[in-house]
Amino acid sequence: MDFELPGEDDPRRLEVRAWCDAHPRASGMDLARAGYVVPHWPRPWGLAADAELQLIIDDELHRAGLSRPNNSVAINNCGISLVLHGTKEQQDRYLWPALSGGELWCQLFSEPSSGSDLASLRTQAVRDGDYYVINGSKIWTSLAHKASVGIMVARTNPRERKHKGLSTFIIDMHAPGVDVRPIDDMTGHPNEYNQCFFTDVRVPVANRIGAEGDGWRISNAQLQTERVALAKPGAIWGSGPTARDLVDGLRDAGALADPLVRQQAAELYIEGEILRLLKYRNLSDRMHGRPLGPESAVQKALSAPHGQRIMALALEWMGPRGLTRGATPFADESREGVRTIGELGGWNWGIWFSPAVTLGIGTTEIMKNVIAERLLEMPREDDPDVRKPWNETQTRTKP
Amino acid sequence: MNFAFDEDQGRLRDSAVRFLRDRVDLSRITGQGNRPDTRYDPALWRDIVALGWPGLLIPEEYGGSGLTLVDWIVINEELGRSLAPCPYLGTYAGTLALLRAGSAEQKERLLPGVASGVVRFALACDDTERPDDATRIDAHGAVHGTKRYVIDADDASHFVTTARDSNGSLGLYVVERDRPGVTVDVLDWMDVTRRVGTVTFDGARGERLPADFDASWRWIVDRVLLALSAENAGGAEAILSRTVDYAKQRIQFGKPIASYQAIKHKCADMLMKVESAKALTYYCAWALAGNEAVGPLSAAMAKSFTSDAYRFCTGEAIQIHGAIGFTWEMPVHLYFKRARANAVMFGAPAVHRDRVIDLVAAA
Repeated sequence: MDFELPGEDDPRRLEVRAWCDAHPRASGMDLARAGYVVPHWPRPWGLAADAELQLIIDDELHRAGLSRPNNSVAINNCGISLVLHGTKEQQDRYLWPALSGGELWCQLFSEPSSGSDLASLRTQAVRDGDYYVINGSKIWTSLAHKASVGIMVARTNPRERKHKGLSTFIIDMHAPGVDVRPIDDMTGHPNEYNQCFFTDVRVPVANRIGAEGDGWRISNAQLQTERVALAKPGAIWGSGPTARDLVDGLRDAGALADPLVRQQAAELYIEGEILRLLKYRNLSDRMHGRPLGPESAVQKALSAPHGQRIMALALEWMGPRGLTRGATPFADESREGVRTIGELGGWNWGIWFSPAVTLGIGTTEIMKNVIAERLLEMPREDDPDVRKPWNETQTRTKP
Repeated sequence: MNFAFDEDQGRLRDSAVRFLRDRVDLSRITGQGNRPDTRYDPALWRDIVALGWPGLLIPEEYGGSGLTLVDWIVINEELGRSLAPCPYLGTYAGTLALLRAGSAEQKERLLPGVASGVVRFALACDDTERPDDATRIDAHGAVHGTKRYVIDADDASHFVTTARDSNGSLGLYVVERDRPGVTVDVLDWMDVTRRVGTVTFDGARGERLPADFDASWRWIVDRVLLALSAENAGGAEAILSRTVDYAKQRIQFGKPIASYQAIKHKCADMLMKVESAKALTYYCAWALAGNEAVGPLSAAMAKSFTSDAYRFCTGEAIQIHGAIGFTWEMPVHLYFKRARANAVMFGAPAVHRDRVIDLVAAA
């Protein structure tokens, strides 16, 4: 049992530090070429880094004040699909601009009728010579209004079972027939969500990733290759204020003298520590080549409601003032390490955004199903659609 | 960084699991009807001594095996999982006091006896977080006062008690059970796998443990909090496993109740509490073993969280079992009661949450 991270004199750490010292103003492309944007990927994009080296690199970049390009979909989610399943031409064309931040990506997965049951999706890609013709709609697409590349899962064979008839495509978001419309969410802030409509969009066959019908497998493989990180347990999907920030803010405001606030603040602080420890355990399992334990699913299922409780206490503590537009319990800028999502972030946005965190990236109900079925080996939910051809399923036959 | 037990600790756990599975039979209590004889089985304790568990933290020079807190919580966790009726916790509470506050001569005299099972301690203190003690030491070194809710009191050969001397300063005193002036009344205690009593000192001779009280007390109590946390984590995991097994075999409306989301989600909630409780407990053991700066904070977090987690899991266990879970015959209530006892002994969760804020906000 040991919770220490690699020390100051670790030779791998010294090597990364020397690089940072030699590149004090490293660009996104410099970082990408050094393998520091996606160290967990194979070469030439990454360094095939183990968990420990990934942490060292994070640590040293942070120390040097260098940050990775802000292109999370490519870096953290979809890029690996091109590494694992893409052609040489696709890799050469798309990966370096993505990793250097030159070309922003978005992920075209969820649909209005397919949320938790993603594999039931309706967007169709119909083969027409050297092209696929795409018709349908995607929703909750972060940054689609700024992205030039979209990674889409669409149905290429409606007569196959729902998980089997899907394929993955690289979409040019500026192509004719792509219509991106921002969605106003309940926060009252500008945001990064969109609904995207695709009308007879022609995509070259060369832009299909992997084989036709492999779309589900390719999207699932993304989840197996998560980058490790020791991010603080921020309230909004790991970003934004933490329980520690809340406790510090309440202390500075003199609010911890109230025994009820104090109890709630302590509960949140402890939950934050638990999330940090579960992350440690996850990292340590990866470092030592052990199979991942239950902590990964547990961490996901705990962290979203935890974030909501942080925001709920912040709001309640403000009293009626909290209901005025833009009200914040504490100043945002005063605390180092308060990170943001896209261009947003901070207390006020987090308070009104927090209902979403138990919905996006897997609802809490789905997470609990996963825990019950995979970890406790309880019977699986019955899906009457799963063995039928997709075009005969409920999803298809009911409007 | 390695968030895992090592191979020796794994072997220690395996042997503890096997031993306790063979030797602890809760139907001894549930099979007797609802007024059971709760006396500990001396043969079980003899075998626990033979396994070396009482001497686990005692340095080798005093006849123990000199292992670490991380090794020690493996045993506490398994004792909590099995609800083994034995005086391990009480004995250790007193042993910790001796380890921290005793003189070399006292350690030499008493600790080998703990390791060999001859000496069994109990720690007598009313409110461990605020030992504002009514027990007195008179000018002749005799102890006067009453201590309530003393864990394993009736099985102890020696007590370590808090008391104030004639100057009003707090100290720790060893009192032998067999001396005149010591009375133990065993309570009719709802947590029937543990025995708790009231100890009255009426002029019994007390022997002072010389170390400064304030410098020792937190150290001692934090380790008891760790042991309780490990028991809580082990017990919560045991009841989760029993409950999931039951839900898989209980058929209603033509299928196991384990296939209904209402039940699955309750079990998932329990698993999240169990994994969180284990993570905090292991962290606390590591912190107290080597990283004193966060030791007290980690103990306060672990005790408050694991207590709530254990209470939550045992409450849900009864609901998922349905009415059968509420019967004396099913062992679910034994865990339910242990959870409620552990939660309020050595400071309730709210008390320790209050301390968490003290420790965090001061940092």
